[in-house]
Amino acid sequence: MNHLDDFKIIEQVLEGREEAYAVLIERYEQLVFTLALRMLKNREDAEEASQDVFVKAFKALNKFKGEAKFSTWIYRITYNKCLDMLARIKRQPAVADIEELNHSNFKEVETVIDKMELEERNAQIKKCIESLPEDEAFLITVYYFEDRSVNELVQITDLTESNIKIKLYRARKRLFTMLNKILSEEKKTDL
Amino acid sequence: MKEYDEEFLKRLSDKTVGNLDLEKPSVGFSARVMNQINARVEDKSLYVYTPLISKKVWMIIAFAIVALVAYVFKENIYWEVIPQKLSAIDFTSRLSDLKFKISMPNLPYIFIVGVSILAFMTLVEIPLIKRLIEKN
Repeated sequence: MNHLDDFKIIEQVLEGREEAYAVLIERYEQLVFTLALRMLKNREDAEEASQDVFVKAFKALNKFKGEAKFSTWIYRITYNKCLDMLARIKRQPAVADIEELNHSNFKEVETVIDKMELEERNAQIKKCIESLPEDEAFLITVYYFEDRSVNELVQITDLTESNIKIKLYRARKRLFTMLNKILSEEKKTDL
Repeated sequence: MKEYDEEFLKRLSDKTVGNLDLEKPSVGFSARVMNQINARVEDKSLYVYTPLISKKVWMIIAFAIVALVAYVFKENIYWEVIPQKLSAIDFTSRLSDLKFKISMPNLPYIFIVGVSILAFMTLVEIPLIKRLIEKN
């Protein structure tokens, strides 16, 4: 439904009703901001990037052909904008080693996660996602907020399907490696 | 084993990451973006291209030319007697001598060709430059 509505709003904007664009901003601001934050790891940079994304999308709205969803198009702009900003910042993130998590402690991690309060669990997962490498954090966020479609990720990032699947696997493994580490440290301090 | 790992991690991610809330930008984010967009739209309207000769003036010029041509044909005037006819309708008394006063200098052929090409290129380039400026 949103897909169709987006087209109607875009038509209105192109006919000269610029104020209709505010509806699109309100519809996508949270996801665009979340994606920017996951990649840039800083709220101020993420907000600056998100603003630029919406202004850039407005300027290029007449080039939007409607072959893909508006959301796919704006996430692609977000991804490229964040890559540009990262190239400018040249920040080196600390990346967790994905080999630490092995088959033997899978069940243990799941049991601890299941026992956690939802709020606490979400806070820990968010913290771990923020520590993921930029592209993995972006991919896992879009994947879980947009229909879990690998094909859409291909359109957004221009990466191959197999590359995205590998990155998603790595992101998941890294995520639970970090979570396992945090939980083990908490366990030690409790003792 | 790797397939099992993948399946397990996917199931755990579906259960946890899929339930996360989205982050919210600061209050007034949408308004700030709209302000930037509106400022841009207003800026653009300040630099709207306005031609030196308006459409109205072009219409008057075209009408005058058509009227003159029609008059010439209607009166069956030969081109060499146009100045005399014009003087008869009293534009200026000296216009009848125009044919004798204006004489083309004897220009080299290559010069005329060069000037013609230059004029043609200018006429082609102006709309192209105009379009480029508008695009930017």
